[in-house]
Amino acid sequence: MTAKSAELPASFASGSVLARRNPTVKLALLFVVSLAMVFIFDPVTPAVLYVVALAAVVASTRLPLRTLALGHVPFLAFGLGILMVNALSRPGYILWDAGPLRITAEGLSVGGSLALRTLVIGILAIGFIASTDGVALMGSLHQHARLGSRITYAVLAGYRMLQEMPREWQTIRQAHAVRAQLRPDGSLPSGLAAYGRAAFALLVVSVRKGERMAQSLESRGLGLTPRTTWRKIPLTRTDWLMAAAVLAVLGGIVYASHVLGFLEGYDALFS
Amino acid sequence: MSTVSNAPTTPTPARKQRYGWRVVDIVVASVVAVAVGVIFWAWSAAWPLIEGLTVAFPPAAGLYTGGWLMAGVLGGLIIRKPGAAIYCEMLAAIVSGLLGTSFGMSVLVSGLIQGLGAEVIFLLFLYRKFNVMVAMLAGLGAGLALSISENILYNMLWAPEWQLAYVVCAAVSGMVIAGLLPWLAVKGLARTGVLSSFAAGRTADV
Repeated sequence: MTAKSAELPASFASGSVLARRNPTVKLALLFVVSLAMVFIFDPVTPAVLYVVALAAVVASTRLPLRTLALGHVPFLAFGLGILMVNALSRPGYILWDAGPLRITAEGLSVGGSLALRTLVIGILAIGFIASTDGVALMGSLHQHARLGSRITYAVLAGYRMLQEMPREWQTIRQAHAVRAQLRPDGSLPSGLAAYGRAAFALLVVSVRKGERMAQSLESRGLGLTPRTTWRKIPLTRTDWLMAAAVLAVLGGIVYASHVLGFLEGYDALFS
Repeated sequence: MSTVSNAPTTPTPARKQRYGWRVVDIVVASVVAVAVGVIFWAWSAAWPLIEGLTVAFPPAAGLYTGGWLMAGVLGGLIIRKPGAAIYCEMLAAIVSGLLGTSFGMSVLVSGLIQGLGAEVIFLLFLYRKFNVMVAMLAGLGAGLALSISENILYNMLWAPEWQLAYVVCAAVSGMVIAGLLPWLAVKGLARTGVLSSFAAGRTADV
């Protein structure tokens, strides 16, 4: 089990322009752009948005090409799946057919739009994850988004767990290798039942750890008010500038696409 | 591992004890949600494959969706407090989103809707009953919330019969994968003793 966070540690882009921006602002922007994408159903607008977003992320994080490409893999796979399903299943003008399979122009257009939407959200998520430290994110949400301190620290505890999970999983599998019944050829069972057992053990360990963490948090006075924060996460004018710039570019591209006649909304699904 | 697990409980009135969240509730809910979030992530990775397999009859993919509904029921069954199902489902969805599924930040909305579906059932039983029937009903509620919301959001092109088939598939999947399975998991957890500081680990009805 290799979580993707392991491939994209925050340190990859630490110190870059984007890494110095406020995490809450970055998260809010990611959310706003994702939301805006939901209303766009033509392939041109998301394509332009993707190119611009890619350029912006590359310029502001200086991620190595390899990391960037690896991060794209799940989004590409998903996008390709969407494109194929839509191209094959959507009714419309038939471009190509062979027996039961046929590809329609409408399917290609809508499928391409949905696939590109995945890539836009994907590249922004890559930029966000690569440039944001989880602890700083929670601290910032606590400071700037009024997230309660009990939830903040509970989630931080969960975050720590997430980092340790691959190692935990390995430990459990190794323990099973020592104690569980092996297959006749001496190898560790790797079927669904074996993974189920390991997953259950992981759950047990998680609950037990959570309880211990809660105890230590409470003994350190979590939940008492007022709280002060030790390391303040800065929220500067540059952050607001970035937010304004991103929204302006998003609005500008969508508007230009509308003026040029490319933009299509929900109606594209029914044409 | 020591078996001393008396979570510190501050003396509070009975009402607050029943419905208020202790620190241990929040932390364990978060930790469980994160663990399930990783499962969601793996579950999502296989989604394109499922979509490909069900291309002849897409509503059948509803049978797969129960896997994304486990967190809410599991959290609700362990914590037994108002909001536990929504919190766990949302946090698990966010974790899977941050690990990088292609659903992007739309998981925030899905997590909220699906968590709400399970939460409503626990609320209907006033957070007093947590037997296998309630668990399966909560899974069913989550399945209905998922399929109906997706019919409105994504499947509006489908014929009504397909939409209905999707609802039925998701409901069955929710009941079994997200209802029965978490209930069995909690039962197993209770047997190991790790839930001793929770009502779920002390009462006999799990």
